[in-house]
Amino acid sequence: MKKFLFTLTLFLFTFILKAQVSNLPKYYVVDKDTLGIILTVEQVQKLDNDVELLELFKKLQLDCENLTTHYVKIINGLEEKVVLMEVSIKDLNNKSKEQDDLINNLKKQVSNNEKDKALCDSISKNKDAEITILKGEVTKQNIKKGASIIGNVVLFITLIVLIVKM
Amino acid sequence: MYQNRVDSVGKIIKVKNIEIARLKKDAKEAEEIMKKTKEQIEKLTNEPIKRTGDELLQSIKQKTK
Repeated sequence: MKKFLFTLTLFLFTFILKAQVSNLPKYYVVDKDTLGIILTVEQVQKLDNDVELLELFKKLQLDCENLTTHYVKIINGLEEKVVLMEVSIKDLNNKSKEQDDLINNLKKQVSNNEKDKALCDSISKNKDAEITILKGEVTKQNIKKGASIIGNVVLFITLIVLIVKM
Repeated sequence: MYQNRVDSVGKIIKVKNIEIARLKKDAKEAEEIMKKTKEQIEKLTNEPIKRTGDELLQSIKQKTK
């Protein structure tokens, strides 16, 4: 019987204790003054862990902001690089255009020179033909001159002979 | 004229590339730090710290300062 009563008392004590614990957190009031809050160890441990987590989340937020700053700097750097590359491309295009113009001018010059050469060749051929004709004319004139001299000499001799005979 | 400009812009681009590489390195380091913080959060979420006794009291005192 004693054992039964002891067991019953122990059971009731445990039940009351558990009921009290399950009611926590509770205000700790002394003489109608609220001095604090009573928590179970488990609840305090949870709060302790949550505070640790909160600190880590704050750190994570800072890390995120820091990383964002880095990314923004990289993006700015890349944008500046793109602008420089665009300037470079524009300059290269202009240079290419300038060189194309230069090539076209040189081609035109070559074409003009070829035309000039053809014209000079044509003039040279004409001159050669003219020289050949003039050479023939000179030969004819020389022959005529020779024949004239011989004729004059013959005439002179004939006249002298006739004068002598008379 | 254009060639000179292209050359000078090329030099600036080289400097910019070095700067970008340095910034990328810094960003990678920041990513590593963030990764570690995330791992710590994950660890605390999966395996909460369960301080006991004086350690728990000291921790709470420290946090409520």
